[in-house]
Amino acid sequence: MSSRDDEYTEYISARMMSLRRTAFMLCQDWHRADDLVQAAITRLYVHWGRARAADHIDAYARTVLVREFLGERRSAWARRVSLDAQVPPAGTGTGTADHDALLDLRAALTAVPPRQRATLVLRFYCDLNVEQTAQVLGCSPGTVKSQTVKGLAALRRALDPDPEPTGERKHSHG
Amino acid sequence: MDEPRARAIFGLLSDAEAPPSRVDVGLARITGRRRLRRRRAVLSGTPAVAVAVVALSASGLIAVLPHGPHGRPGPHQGGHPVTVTPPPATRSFDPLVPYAEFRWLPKGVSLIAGTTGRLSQHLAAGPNAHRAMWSLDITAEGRCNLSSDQILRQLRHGGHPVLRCSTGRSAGFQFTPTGQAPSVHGHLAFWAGHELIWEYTRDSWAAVVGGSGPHLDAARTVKVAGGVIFRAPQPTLMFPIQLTGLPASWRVGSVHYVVGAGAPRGNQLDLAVPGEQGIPLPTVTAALAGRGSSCYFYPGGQSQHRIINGIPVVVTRLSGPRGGQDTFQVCAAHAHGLSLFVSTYGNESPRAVSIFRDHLRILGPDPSRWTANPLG
Repeated sequence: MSSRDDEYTEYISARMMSLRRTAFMLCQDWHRADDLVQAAITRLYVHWGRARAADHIDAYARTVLVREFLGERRSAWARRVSLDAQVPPAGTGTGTADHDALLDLRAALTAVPPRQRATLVLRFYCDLNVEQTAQVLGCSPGTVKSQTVKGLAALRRALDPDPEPTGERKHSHG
Repeated sequence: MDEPRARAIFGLLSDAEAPPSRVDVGLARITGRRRLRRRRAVLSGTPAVAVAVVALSASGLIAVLPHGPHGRPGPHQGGHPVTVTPPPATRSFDPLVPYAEFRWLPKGVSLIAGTTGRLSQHLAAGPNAHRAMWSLDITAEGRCNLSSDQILRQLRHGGHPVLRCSTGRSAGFQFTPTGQAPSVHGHLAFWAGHELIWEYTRDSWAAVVGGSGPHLDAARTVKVAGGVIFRAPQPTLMFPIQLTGLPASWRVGSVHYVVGAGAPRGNQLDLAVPGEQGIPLPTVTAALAGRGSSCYFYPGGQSQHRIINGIPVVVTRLSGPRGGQDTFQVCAAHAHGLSLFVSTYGNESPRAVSIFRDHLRILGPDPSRWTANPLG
């Protein structure tokens, strides 16, 4: 194996779990998460020279992954996946309250539009600041701020679709 | 919703245990390498050719320089080609019969999976079931735009031939030959980056790629290609399920199979109506059930738990993108020792639930009960 391949394989192996979890946060589906990671690491191989030269390889890899997600590309690889690998999110079918709560959270997150969801994942899961998030998404910091606000609002609506009409209550209580 | 609560939500979600990974780094390398070669060939043209030629010449494997110092390639010569009788050309493969076989692979590498379609077939080999390192793609007759003589002629005249092969519904193949390679079974062969391509019989092409490191790749690729045989007496594909009573026009379009200890097991059937390649028909997947076998339950009411023929299943209806046709799925994680998945699209009938309930015979995990005829 060439040193390029060695480096690439070593890097991907070390970061696999992190990439998969980030992908899962983006799409809330382990099947699609693995498809996303497969597509992203293939792309990363093609651009490995550039990635290696980047200041921060992790940031480069994350950018490839997020843009793959936003591009909604699905690799032909997915067509050849066998059912051996069809696995659910952990806990599916347990019927516990915790499990239900987790499902609610995941459903709420999937209700957030993809670009806003990506913004939330980068800001609050990957812990990036506004400028770093803007770099990943290829937009301005101002756009990140507005997407964050909208994303949080969408998440709130999804979690609590029928909020108490606080305005009216204030009004009625005078 | 404030930022701390959002962080808390992601914290909760990140605690979920991740299922086993399906991501294949080896496959990413092979696919990435292929894309890289095409990009280089397209973007830099002659310099890329020169680089490939220098690398391969150093290994003594290039027989002809397409753009050498004298501008013309030399005579056709190779390593030690073995001339064998080519198989007769066929315009359509039998999707239930693998058409080609690796007779030589590097130590520790063996066939792990394959896909048999009517217009193209694919073999994957690797050190284990999860790591594909070598692949072979072959086309049926008449799927590609150039003959080997035409490619050789273009190379000799300083041209940049592009071999394009259409294989029906899938994207097909495209190769950019950069120089002549040692002949395979006496047939002209070419390097297309690291890929070795040859016209194995009239108007029918084969491509082998794999390994890593340019010199090792070239030497081994030549040897692997030389070990490919066609119309070999293959072990029959065996299926742990059988579909009965389906519309008479439905045929097996392609099969994905895996190779374990026994006979190759067909684990995915794509059905098709001959001559109507644009219509997606059902896909039926049957794997051996294991501890990790389970079904994805889509949120938002898209999935429902049901019992069909006494088997717990997850039935899912997914809306098509932008008003497109819906997808219907039935998944059974454990059905008499198998994991089953049926997927249908749009208005085709019968739909997934009906296929699972009325048309699917589950033969179980015991190979002695499997069938070579998946459409009964």
